[in-house]
Amino acid sequence: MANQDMTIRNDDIRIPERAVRPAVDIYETEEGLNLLADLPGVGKDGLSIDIDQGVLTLRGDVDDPGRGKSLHREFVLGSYYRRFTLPNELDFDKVSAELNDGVLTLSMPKSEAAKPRKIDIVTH
Amino acid sequence: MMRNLDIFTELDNLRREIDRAFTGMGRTNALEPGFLPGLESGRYPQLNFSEDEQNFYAEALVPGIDAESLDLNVMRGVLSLSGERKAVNGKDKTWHRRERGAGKFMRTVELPAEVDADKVKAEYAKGVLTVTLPKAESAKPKRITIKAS
Repeated sequence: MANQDMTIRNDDIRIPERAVRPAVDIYETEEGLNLLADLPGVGKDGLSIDIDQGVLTLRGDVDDPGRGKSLHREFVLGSYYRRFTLPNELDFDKVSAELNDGVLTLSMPKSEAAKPRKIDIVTH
Repeated sequence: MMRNLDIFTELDNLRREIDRAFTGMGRTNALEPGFLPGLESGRYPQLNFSEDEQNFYAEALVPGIDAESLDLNVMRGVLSLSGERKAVNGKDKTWHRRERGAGKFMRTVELPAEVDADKVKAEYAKGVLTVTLPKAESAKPKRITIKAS
């Protein structure tokens, strides 16, 4: 693989009580780092994405009215929380986010200096 | 306190991995086939089930799915939900984390009482599928007035 490995550290110690840790996919391309997170039940208003000093914090709150009397329960829609330490090679000003059908897609482009470059060799 | 929270996180991860192994979600196909019970026994998607006097409600967590690809059926007192979640194309990518499952799924639930199958409604929003199943007349609670003589 041509890309260098950008390490992402988890920093989950400070998970607030009762928050669910969303499942994520994180992959790297030559352009940057992409993160997909499953946040079922979260709308645009309930989602907050923060990047502070290289630490990405995802938080999603669900407003689930719940109907009737529960007969069987496998999940509780409350809040999601997860944080990651991001590599420095990213251009945090150009991060873009999209939320579709409960899936968050974060695109974090690499800064120009960190992109792989092909150097042409001139032969005389 | 901290310790507790860590255990929860670990349990959550463990559950996810077990789910994946048994439903064939994700890339772990090494355990196939033979003794594995197959897709139908999987616990994906997760379901909540509730009722009031008029209806049963089923809620399923199915984020990132094209609503058209979801198939919902009610037959002989059994609700079944199947569909497919497309995997992210893994080519030319370096993966750092790959926790989100992908693949085909199917889940069946036995309904606790008769429903009016013609009036079942389903709605998909924000990755959550909500199914409203009106109870059949015979399954609704009846209030019997007692006359005092």
